[in-house]
Amino acid sequence: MSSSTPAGFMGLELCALSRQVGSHTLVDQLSLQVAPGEILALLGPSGCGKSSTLRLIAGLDRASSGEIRLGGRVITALAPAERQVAMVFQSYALFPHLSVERNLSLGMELRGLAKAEIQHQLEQVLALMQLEGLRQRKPAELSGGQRQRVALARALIRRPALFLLDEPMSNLDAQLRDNLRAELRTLLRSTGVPVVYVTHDQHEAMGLADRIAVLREGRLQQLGTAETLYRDPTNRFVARFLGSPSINLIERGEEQLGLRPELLELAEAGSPVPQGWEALEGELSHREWLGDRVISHVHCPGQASLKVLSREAPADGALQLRWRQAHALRFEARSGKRLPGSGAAHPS
Amino acid sequence: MIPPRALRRWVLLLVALLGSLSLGLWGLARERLEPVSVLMPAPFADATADLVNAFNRSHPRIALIVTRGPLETEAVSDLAISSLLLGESPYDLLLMDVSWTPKYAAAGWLEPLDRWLGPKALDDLAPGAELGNAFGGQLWRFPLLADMGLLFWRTDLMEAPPRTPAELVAISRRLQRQGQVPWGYVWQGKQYEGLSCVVLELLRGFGGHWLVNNDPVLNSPAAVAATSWLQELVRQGITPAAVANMGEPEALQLFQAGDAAFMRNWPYAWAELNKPDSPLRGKVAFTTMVSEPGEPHAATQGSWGFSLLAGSKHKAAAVEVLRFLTSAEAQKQLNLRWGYTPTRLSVFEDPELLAANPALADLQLALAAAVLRPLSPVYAQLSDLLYRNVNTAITGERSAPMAMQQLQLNSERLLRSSGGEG
Amino acid sequence: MRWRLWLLMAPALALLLAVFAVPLLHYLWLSTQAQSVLTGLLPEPIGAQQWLRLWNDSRFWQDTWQTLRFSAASVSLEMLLGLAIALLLDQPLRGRGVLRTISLLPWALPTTVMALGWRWIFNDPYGPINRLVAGLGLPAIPFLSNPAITWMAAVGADTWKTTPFVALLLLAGLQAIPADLYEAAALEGATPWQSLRRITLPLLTPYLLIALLFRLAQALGVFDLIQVLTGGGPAGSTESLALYAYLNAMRFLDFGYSATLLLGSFAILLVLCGAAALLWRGNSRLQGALR
Repeated sequence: MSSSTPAGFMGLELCALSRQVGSHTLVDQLSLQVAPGEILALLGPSGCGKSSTLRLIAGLDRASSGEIRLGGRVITALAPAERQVAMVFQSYALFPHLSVERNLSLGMELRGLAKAEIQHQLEQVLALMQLEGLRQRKPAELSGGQRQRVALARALIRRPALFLLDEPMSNLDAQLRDNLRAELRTLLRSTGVPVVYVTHDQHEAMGLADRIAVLREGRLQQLGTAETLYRDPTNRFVARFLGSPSINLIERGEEQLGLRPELLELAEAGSPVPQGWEALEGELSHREWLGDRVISHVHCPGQASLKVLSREAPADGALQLRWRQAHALRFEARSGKRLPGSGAAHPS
Repeated sequence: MIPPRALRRWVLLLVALLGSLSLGLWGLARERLEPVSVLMPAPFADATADLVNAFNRSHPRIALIVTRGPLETEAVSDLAISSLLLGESPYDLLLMDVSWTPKYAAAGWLEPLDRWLGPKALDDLAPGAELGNAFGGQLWRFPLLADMGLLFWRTDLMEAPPRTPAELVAISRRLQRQGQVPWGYVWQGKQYEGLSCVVLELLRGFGGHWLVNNDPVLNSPAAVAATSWLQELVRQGITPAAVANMGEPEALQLFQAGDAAFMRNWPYAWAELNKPDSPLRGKVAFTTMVSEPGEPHAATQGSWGFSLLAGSKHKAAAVEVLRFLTSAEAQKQLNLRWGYTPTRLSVFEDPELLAANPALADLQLALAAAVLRPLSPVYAQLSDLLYRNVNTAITGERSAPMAMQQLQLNSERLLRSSGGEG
Repeated sequence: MRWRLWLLMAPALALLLAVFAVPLLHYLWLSTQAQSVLTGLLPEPIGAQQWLRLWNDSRFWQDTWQTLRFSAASVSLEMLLGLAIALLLDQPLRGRGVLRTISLLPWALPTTVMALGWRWIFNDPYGPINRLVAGLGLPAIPFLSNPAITWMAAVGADTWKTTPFVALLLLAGLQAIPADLYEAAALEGATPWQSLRRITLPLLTPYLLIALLFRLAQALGVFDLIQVLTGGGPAGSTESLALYAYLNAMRFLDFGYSATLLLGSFAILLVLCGAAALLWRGNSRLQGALR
């Protein structure tokens, strides 16, 4: 990705954005762009700087250096209110003393909108988010999913130029999360503004976002579509962070081979190895049955336990594990850097 | 070898056995001793500590224990009353202020002393010291120390002390005009018992009284004149307005700093003013309060004395203690070591004491001028009315005649409702 | 089932009865008796005479007014200052922990000790304030000897002592408010004043009311501060109801009237706390109405 920007870019741009607190660098020279209508997920383990980045964009924290641009305008030093951003907090940050209605209208009241206008917009959003029946309730009287809808409604009613979400699903149970993902995606896309979505959950990121930025220790590791990240990771960190079950790493001296579980095949022990393939002899240690597939954990001498994803379960005992050489991603063992000329021929 | 842990266990057992044994022996010994417990304000408890030790040495059958009460007079009364109200007071003797006696006697807390001390008990008391011990025809208290209101004056600023209110004002004004002192006269003007003592002296000095035949006469011309004079002192700047919140310590502080020519206070101030580090050492004398020509120079009597509690289970032993602590020898020691004023004539006339403490003769004279606050079980209410109302005149809230009229009405109502028992 | 509930509550009820109802009933009975030094401390039934006396006692009404004036002034000052200090201590300041500890010191001091301290500070003419005033060539301030000023001096001392209590209570309340509420409001464009009014104060209301009730009950029963600082003077201008009841019991040995006075001031306390409770309910209803 080029770091130079076409003039008049109307989305969100971060240019070498950094934040330091004391000697600790939370965000390190982060540059990226989010186009209007695009959903970008900031993905990474806790402490990777994704929430810090979101807070910098919102203006809740000050950047140490770098620039934030929105719609071509530099907003780095603006107060949060002047950025016209809406944010959905992980906790939802609903005002506990106010009803659903007033939670939604407070911002407009603060900005001094006319009563009639407030009422009009309120009704619209209440209808859109199917909250009409709950309008008089206090947040404590709502379920987790309802609270999330109120939080989204409050962000929508702001008519923001930028939409920020900080782990908005983490307080919901897994079932609800799966159901909401598509709905949320449609809703966010309908706003037509750049959306930045922070999550530590790869499924959420892959299911929701157009592109994913993987962060680690404040630094951008890779930015791209879910598929690119999965198939063509720039380093071992990205390769390991995405994919479930996670990628297998096979020790090869100075190198490590990265092999997705679905790209490994099982054969009878001692079978001849075809041209262009590689193999390891091992022993099945146990199986995880997923319904349509099985994860087989195979122990090979000198390797960590390797996982194989297949349709059929292998028999117990000794077996052979093999893969196409072209499918293996090669990493430098020490740095985790991706070595050139590997993983090119990936099955689609 | 015994392991250390086991050894420790044996030692503990031994200690416990010895401890309980000695506790038991001590209890047996106590059984035979007759305990006598006395409550005194802190300063007196300190002053009598040597005497108490001497008593315990010379009286092996009695264990005299002194409870060191609070510093402030009324706080001591609160402590005593709290214990008495609970029924079983832990004390046998109380060291009482003169103004409490009728109240305590009427409450039924005190044992009459006539039976214990005999008819001649008061014979040796100096004139003035015999006042305030009897009430309703019975003796309730025997005085340990005399206390009376004194007018302190600066010998370095004047030849002789004023004897009339007008003289006091004239000297004060002259000294203030000359810039010798910022203030003329300081006294106790705070809303508390001390103000009643100040007023009583002036009532007499202006020819008035508090009660006559148990009726208040506080709106008499003399009483109004006395209060007016106090009010004028403040109004004319002879007395600072702060007097409305001055007790004894505050007045002494201002006088000792050299900021006033005169002070009304008790004999303890004499000792304070003549301490080695006092700036006024040797520059102060005292006399009795000023009065209009022909009227007495009065000194409010404020003595301390012992009363025997009716609930005491050790009355004979307690009387023994009372006799010892109020004896001529004890009073002599208290004067020599602590400067307290005796109550016994024989002590006032002791040549050894007179040589050591030349002011004693003057104190005896002042004591002879002693006047007593009303002996009434409702004295606390009477005094509360008086100091509250006079204080309104001192702060300028009310004119003196109005304040005294109000005081008269309130006092009449109080005495009427208390059924003339006062 | 029900009897079991009562059984479970019995110890608590018994305790409540012992520490609250029994003394109250005893005082009620005492207020119908003449029990004083004049009756040899024995009770003599006199019907409603004590209550009649209370009704006609101008000193009772004066002390009621003075107690209310003192309470209203000191409690409102303490609430305002307490809130200000709590808001300050809630900020991420350097050395905040030390500051919090220091600000609590007045509260930890025994009242009598601090009252003696203030007597010294207010001393005329030797107290530090009046020395300063004299240094400026101004006349001394009669803190404790002028009825128009002394009650304010008492309010000042009380405020100094109890503001930390209010501040601490409110600080606890402030810290219970999640930071992201303020951030959400800031994103909506709330000014600091708006977020104080729209978020902090409504969410702090329960704490404010608890502090108010505590302080009101304490202030209406003010005794030791007044006793040590002014003794009720000058000219009776700082005498509180509690001090008057104390005088009647401990100095005048008039227990019947003292009990009547205590019940009288208790009634006033009940009325005021009831009003505060109504205010609370009214407040929540008001919030409901403001939707």
